[in-house]
Amino acid sequence: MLTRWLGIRPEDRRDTGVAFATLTAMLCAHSMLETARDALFLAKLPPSRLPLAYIAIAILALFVSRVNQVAAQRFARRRLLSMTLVGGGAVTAIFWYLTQHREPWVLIALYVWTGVLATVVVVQFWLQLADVLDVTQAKRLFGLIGAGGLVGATLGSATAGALLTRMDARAILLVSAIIQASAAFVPLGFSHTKEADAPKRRRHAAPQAPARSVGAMLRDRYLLRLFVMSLVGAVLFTGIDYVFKAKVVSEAHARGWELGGFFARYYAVVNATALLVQLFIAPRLLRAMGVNRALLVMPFLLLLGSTGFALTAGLVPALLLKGSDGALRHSVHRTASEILFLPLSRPVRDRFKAFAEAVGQRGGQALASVVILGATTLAAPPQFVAWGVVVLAVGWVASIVGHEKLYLELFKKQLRDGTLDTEVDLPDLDLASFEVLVQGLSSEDDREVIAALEMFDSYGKVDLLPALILYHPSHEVVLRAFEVLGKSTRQDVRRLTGRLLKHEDGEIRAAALRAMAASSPDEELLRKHVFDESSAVRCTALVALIAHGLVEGDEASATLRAIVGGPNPDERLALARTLRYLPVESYGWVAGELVALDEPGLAGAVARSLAAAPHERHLDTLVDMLQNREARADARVALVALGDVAFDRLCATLHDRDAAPHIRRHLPRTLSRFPIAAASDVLLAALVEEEDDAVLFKILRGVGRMRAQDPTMPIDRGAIVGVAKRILEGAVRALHWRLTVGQVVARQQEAMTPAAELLVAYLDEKRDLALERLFRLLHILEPAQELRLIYEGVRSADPKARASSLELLTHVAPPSIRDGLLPLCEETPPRARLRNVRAWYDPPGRARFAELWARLEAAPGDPKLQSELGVLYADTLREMLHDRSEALRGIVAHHVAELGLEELRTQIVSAAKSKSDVLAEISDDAMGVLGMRGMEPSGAG
Amino acid sequence: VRAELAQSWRAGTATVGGVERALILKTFPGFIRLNAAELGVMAAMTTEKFFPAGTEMHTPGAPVARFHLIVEGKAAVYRHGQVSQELGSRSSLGGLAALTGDPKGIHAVAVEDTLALEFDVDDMRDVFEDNFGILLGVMAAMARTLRELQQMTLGAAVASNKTMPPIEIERPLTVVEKMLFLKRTTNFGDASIEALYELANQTPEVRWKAGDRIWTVGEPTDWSFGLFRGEVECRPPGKPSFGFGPGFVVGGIDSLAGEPRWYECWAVTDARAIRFARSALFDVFEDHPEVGMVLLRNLAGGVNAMLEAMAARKKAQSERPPPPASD
Repeated sequence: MLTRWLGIRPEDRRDTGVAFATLTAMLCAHSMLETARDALFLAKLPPSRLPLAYIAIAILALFVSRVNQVAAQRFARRRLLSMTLVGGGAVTAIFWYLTQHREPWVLIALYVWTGVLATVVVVQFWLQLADVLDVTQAKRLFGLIGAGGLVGATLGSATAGALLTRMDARAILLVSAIIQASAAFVPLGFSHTKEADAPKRRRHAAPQAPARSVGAMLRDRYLLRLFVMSLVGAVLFTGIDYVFKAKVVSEAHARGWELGGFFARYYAVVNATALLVQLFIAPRLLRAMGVNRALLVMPFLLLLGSTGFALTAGLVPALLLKGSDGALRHSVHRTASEILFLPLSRPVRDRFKAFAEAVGQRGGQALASVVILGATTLAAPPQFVAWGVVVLAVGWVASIVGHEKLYLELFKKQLRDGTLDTEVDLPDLDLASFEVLVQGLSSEDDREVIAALEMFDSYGKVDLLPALILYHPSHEVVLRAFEVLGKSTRQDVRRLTGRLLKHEDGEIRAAALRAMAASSPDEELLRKHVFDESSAVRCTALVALIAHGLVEGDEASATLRAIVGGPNPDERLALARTLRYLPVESYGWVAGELVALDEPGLAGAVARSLAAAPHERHLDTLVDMLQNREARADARVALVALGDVAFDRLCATLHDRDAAPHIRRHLPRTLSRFPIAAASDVLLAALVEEEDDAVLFKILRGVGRMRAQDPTMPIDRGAIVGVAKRILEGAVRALHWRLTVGQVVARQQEAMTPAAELLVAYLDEKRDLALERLFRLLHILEPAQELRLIYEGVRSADPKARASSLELLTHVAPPSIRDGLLPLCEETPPRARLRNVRAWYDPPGRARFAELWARLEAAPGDPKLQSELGVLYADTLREMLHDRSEALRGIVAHHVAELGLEELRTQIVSAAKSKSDVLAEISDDAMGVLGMRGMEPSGAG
Repeated sequence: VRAELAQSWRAGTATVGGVERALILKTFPGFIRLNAAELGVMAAMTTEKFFPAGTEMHTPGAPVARFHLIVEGKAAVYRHGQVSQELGSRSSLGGLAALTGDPKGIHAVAVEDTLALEFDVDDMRDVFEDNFGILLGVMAAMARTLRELQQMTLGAAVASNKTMPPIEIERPLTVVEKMLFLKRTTNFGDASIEALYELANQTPEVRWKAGDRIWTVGEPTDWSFGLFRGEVECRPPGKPSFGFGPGFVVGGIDSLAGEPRWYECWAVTDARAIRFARSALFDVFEDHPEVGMVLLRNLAGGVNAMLEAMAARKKAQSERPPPPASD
C-alpha cells in the first residue's frame, strides 16, 4: 500500500518516517514562533524596520552557519540537529522571558533569531537527509517528506490562531519552545550515514574535497548556478508576495471584502493543493521529467502569471501567480532543488548549502525588501514590481536551462572517483626509454633480453635491433631473435645467419636455415642439411627445397605426406613453421591437414605461418582455426590481410545458421577488425537477426569496439532500440518465470529436482546477463556517455554509486525502454522488481499465475487448484523452451524429463531437430532421460 | 636495468619511466607472455617503492592492501615466527595473501635494500577482469608454483578440490548432469550457470577400464579431467604414488601451468570423467572472467596452504628436542 501510493519501500520506512516527523514538528514550532513574533513585532514596530531585520538575518545566518559547520565536524549530523533543536527551544524560552517588557531591541532580536534559527535547522535537516537518502530515494521520497513541512506549518498556524484567542502572543513563544525541544529526540532515529558506510577505494579514491572558500565555490559553474537560482528565487518569491498582497488589499478596499476571511479561504485552498501536489504529483513529475525539467515548471508558471499581471493588473493573474508559488514552491520546487545538492561531495555540500541558504535565501529576501521599499516610497504601482518579477523569472529559467549537463557531469565524476582505467597502452618511446631497451639487450638475465627484444618488436623498432643479438649465448634468446628479425630484410642479419648454420643447437640451425631459405636459397646448402642429425633441420631443408622448386612433383608431395602422416611431431612442427614458403597452388592442402591432426602447438605454428604469408587458398583452414584458441589471433591477422575475399567468406559463415557454433561465435570480433564502414553494416544487421545468444553477445562486443573507435559510425538507432527492447522484455519474462518456478517448487516438493535448482539460479542470473547486454547496446547508441562507468555504478555495492548511476541512466536511456530498464537495475527483491516493471511490460502468464496463486492461498488443499497449478507450470516450462537462450532451453528440457512431463515431449523433439548441434545434443540428452525415466536416478546432484 | 634502478633509488635519484617498468615487468614469470597493451596496463598500475634493509614491508594482522613485485633485493617472509621463505628479484610478495584475501595478511621484512613495484589489490582485480592475458599469465605462474610445491611435497592432491560420492549413472551424463557435477566442485562452484553450460558443452565424457594408462611422464598437458566415478593412481618416477577419487580435477594444475606431465596416471578401477581441453577452459575464462578469478584464488589458496604446512613442519622440527648424544 505504502509502496504503491506513496513510493515508500520497506528499506525507506525508517528514515522517511523520522524525516516526516522531524519536519512536521520543526515547522509546527516554527509557524507558532513566526505567528507570535509577527504579533509582537508589528504591534510595537513599523514594517519599515523589516528590511533591516532581513539584512541582519542574512549576516548572522552566515556566521551561525560557519559555527554550524565546525560543529558538524565534531558531531554526527543527527545529533547536531537534535542539539540545535534543544538549544533553539532554550533560546526561544529565554525570549519568552525577555519579551515581558516588549522593548524594541528585544523584538528586533526575536525577529532576527526566528530567521536565523529557521535557516540553521532547515539546512541541517536537508543535509541530514542528503546523507541518508540517495538520489533515487530522494526523487521518490522528498515530496512526501516535504509534505511533513506543510502539515507542520498548517498545524502550527492553526494552533497558534486558536491559542491567540485565549492567551497572550508571548505565551505562544513558550509553547513553541516546548515543541521544539520535544522534537529534538526525533532525529536521533535516523539511520547511520550511508557515505560513512560506503566502501572506498584506497589509492584511486578521489581525495576528499576540501571545504572550499566562498570565492572558489562561486567560480564553480554548477555552484554559481545553484547560488543564482537560490538568490533569484528568494527575490522573486518576495516580489510575488508583494504583488499579490498589494492587489488583494486594493481589491478588498474596492469591493469591501473582509481580508482575514479571504486570506484564510485562499490559503486553505492553496495549502490543500500544495499537499496534494507534494504527495502525489511531485514524485511522479520528478520521475517522469527528471530533476532539471521539473525545476522549470514553477518558473515557467510564474513567468506566465507575472506577465499576465504586468499586462492586465487583474486579480485573476495575481491569484494564479501566488497560487502557483504556494502550490509548487514547497513541493516540486523544493524537492527538485534539494536533489541538486546531492551530487556534491559532502564537505562542499555542507559549506555551500549553508552559504546558499544564508546569503542566497535570506540575502535575496533582504534585497527584495529594499527594492520594494524603494518602489513603495516612489509610489510605483504593483505592475512595476510585476515587470521586475517577469525579468527575474526569465533569468531564472535561463539559469536552469543548461544546468542538466553540469548536474550529470557531477554524477559521472562521483562514479569516476575510485575507478580505474584499465585500457591504457604502452607509454611512448622517448630517447631515455630507448636507451633502457638497448641496455636491456645486454643484460646478464636472458629474460630481460627477451623482454627487451619483444618490446623493440612492439614499438615497431626491429630495424634498430643490433644483429649481433643472434650470437647471444642463450638458446631462447637466439630463437626469439630469429622470430623478431625474421620479418627483417637487413643484410647484416643475413650475413650473421649463415654462420649460425654451424651452431651446435639443432633448433638454432633450423631457425637459421629457415631465415636463409626465405631470402637466398642455396641448393647445395639445403641438400647438405637434408642429412642433418636434427629432424627439425632435415625437415626445414626439405621444405625449403620444395618451396624453391628444387624438389617437385610426386617426390615433393610424398615427402610432405610422409612428414604429415609420420611418427615425428617435431618434423610436423618444423613443417608448420616453414609452411609460409611452400607454393600454395601445389601444397595448399598441407595447412589443413596439419591443423586437423589436433596436435599440441601445431595449429598455433600453422596460424603464425599463414599470417606471415596469407593466401585465399587457406580461407577454409583460417576460418576453421578461429575455434582454436592458440591459432585464433594469427588466423584473424591472416583473414584481415586477405581483405574482401575473407570478409565475404566470414559474412557468409555468420549468416549460415548451420555453421559450427564454435566458429560462428568468433566471427563478430574477427569482422570487427576489418575496416569499420564494411564491418559495421554486417554486424549491425546481424545484431537484429541473430538468434544464438552467445553470438549476439559477441556481436555486441564487436560493434561496441568499433563504435568506441569511431563514434561517427552510422547506426540504425531504431533497430538497436528494438533489440534492447527485446532483451529487456526477455529479462522481465525471466523474472516472472523465476518467481513462478520458485513458488511452485516451494509448494510442490516433487518439482524440486536438481535441474530446478539450476533453473532458478539461471533465471536469477538472466537479469545480470540482460543488463550487460543492454549497457553494451546503450554504449552503441551513446558512445560518449561513459556507459561502462554507469554500468559499474549500477553493479556497485555502494548505494550512492548505484543511485548516481540510476540518475545518469534516467537521462541516457531511450524513453521507450527507460521505464523497463530502471526497475531492472534497482537492488530490490525480484517480486518488487516485477511489480515496478509491470507497467512497462507485463509478461504473458503473470496475471494468470497471480490469480491462481491467490486462490491457492485461500484454499491450499484444493486438489483442483493443485492440478491447475501443474498445468500452469507445464505451460510456463513450454514457454521457456522457446527462449533464445540455449542454456535455458537445455536446463528446461532436462527438468521436463526429470518431471516426466510427456505433454512437452513434442517441444523437446522439435528442439532435437534443431540445426544447432549443441541444442540437438541437449535435447537428445533430455529425450534419453525421458525414455529411461524410472530405470535409474536422474541428475548428478 | 634492475641493478641500476636499485642503485639510483638508493642514491635518491631514480626516475623510473613507464617503459622501464614495462621492461622489468616482462621479466616476471607471470608476465613473460604479455603483449604490449597488457604490459602498458601493468606499467601504468604500478609504482616503485624502495625499502632499505631491515624495513618491514608487510605487517601481519590485516589483509594485504598492496603487494609487491621485487625488482632488486631480497625480502624474508615470516610464518609461525620463523623465516619461511626468502624472496629475491622477480618474486611476488604479498600476492598470495592478496589473492586469497587472507585476513591475517603476511609478515615480511626487507633483508637487503629492496626495490619493488607496488600494486594495489583493488586495481589488480579490475585489471584481471579487463585484461584476460594478464589473468592467464598470473594463473599460469601460480599453477607453476603450485606444481613445484606438489612435486616437492608429493601433496599432489590439490587442496582446493573436495571429494564427493561417485555419480551412479550408467548412461553417459547429460549436459545438465555435467553442469550439476561441475557446480559441486570447488573450482566451478561459484561459476555462473551460463559459464557452466558453456564448459559442460565442451567437456566430453571419457571412460577407462581398470589398469588403463591415462597418460605418461613428459606428455603435453593440453587437457585434464574431472573424475566423477572410480579411482586413479598417479605414479611419479622414483617416488611414492598417490591417488584421486570422485570430485577431483586431475592434471589441471599442470595443464594451467603449460608444463609436461610429471607423473604417470593409471585407472585403478573402472573410471569415468569429463575431459577439460585447456583451450576450451581458457575460452570460458575469457568470456566469464569470474570463473578464472575463482580458479586463481583457489590456486593461490593451494600454494598458501602448502607453504603454511611446510612452515609448520619446519617449526615442529626446530622445536623437537635434539636426540640424546651417544657416546
